[in-house]
Amino acid sequence: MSRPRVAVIQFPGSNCEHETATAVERAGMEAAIFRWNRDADELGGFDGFILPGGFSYQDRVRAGAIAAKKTIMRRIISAAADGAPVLGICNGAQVLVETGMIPGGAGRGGGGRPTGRIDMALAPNVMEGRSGFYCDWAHVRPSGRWRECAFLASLSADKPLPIPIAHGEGRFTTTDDSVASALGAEGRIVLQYCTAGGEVADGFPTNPNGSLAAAAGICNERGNVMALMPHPERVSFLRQVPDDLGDVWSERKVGARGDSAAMAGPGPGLALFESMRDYIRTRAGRA
Amino acid sequence: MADIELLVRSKAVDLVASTARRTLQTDMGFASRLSLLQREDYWKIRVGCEAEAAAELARELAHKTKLFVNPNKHTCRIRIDGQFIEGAEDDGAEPGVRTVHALISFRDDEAAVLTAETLRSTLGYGEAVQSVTRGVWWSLGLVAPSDDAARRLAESIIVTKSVDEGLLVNPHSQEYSIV
Repeated sequence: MSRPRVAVIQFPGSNCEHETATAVERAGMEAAIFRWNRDADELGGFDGFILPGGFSYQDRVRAGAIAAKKTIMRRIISAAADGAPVLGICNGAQVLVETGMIPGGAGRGGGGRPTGRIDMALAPNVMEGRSGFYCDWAHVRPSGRWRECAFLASLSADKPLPIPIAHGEGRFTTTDDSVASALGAEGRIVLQYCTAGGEVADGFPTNPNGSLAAAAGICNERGNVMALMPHPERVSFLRQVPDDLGDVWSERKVGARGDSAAMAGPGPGLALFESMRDYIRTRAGRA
Repeated sequence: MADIELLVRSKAVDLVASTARRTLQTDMGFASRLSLLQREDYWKIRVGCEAEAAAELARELAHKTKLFVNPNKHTCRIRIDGQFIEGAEDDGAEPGVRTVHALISFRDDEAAVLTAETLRSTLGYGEAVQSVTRGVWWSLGLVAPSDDAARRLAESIIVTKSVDEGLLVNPHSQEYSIV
């Protein structure tokens, strides 16, 4: 197939659409920034969808709540039901949770088919001794059924990834114990916060927001929709990695000083977009 | 012991309320049943003194600390143990419209805890401040044939159960009460 086409949805208040489009292009796909008020039927020409970070509708009422009700989301829900990959990053993840696309029926029987119910929330961070917005670098590692997730299949489980986080409402939570246990049992928590050495831990700052089971990313049953709080698009180039994370990526970046080609090489976040590309190609091959 | 409640409203157009109202009316089909939607920031400060002393403390908290109310952009109503001592019941509904109030707050609200600590330590109120609760006080003007019907309609607007149902509360992270 020709280059997969990905729509990066721009709501009023989105602010990561250009970095996201750059990461999509770097992964060998064609990116188009698609404004929320365009005719939703035009989405039919795209192979995948990304809801980028930012503050859609200024987080009015609740992060992601207003965007979730817009007509364009109906079309994206429909495309996801047909198997198209949908990635929500940060505010995009909040939108996916507010539409019920994530977790999408976990613990409700029926083989995890989407129910349309809102079964969880991305709640305000719980951080020891502080409250509000938190911006830092975090490490994440694949977990659960990550190999079946459209955005993670290219990763190695042995290598934690440094990815920036920047959010005030990033704590995956649910009041329904059956949903919480199903997420674990069904392997839907596909990325967890961890130390630079790869150890999953629940306390702040390793788990920077108090998220359920240190969840950084949760996917639906089919594996084609993922809500992800960290920002992989902000680290698609090696040069974007800080020097002092104490991991192999910082070592690699420091080692690349003076070599502009190496600095422009892939950063740790690029693999998620490459996985999306491979998923789209595989899906097209089956069609 | 007394409960001080501060209801703080923007003097300018409240964009949160107007966006929520437009979403409910345009995207969610409540155009003919929702005629008014307003919001106020809500603070409840439980204090360790009786109502008379609490009234004086409430006015100080509202008008002197500048923590809850910025007089350049806010107005404030004050209640002590449920009785207004400044401002009044706000029931400006049109004929045929029933007003329902709902208080919505986040579970595990760290900001409320930190506000209580600020009052106790930074502002010096000490143990006079026992606890702080923070939320949003919504007022819904509803076209409904009875109070019960208005309450049911309010529930359907407030509680987000699915992508098609409810907006103002995600029950997995927030609590609400209809007043």
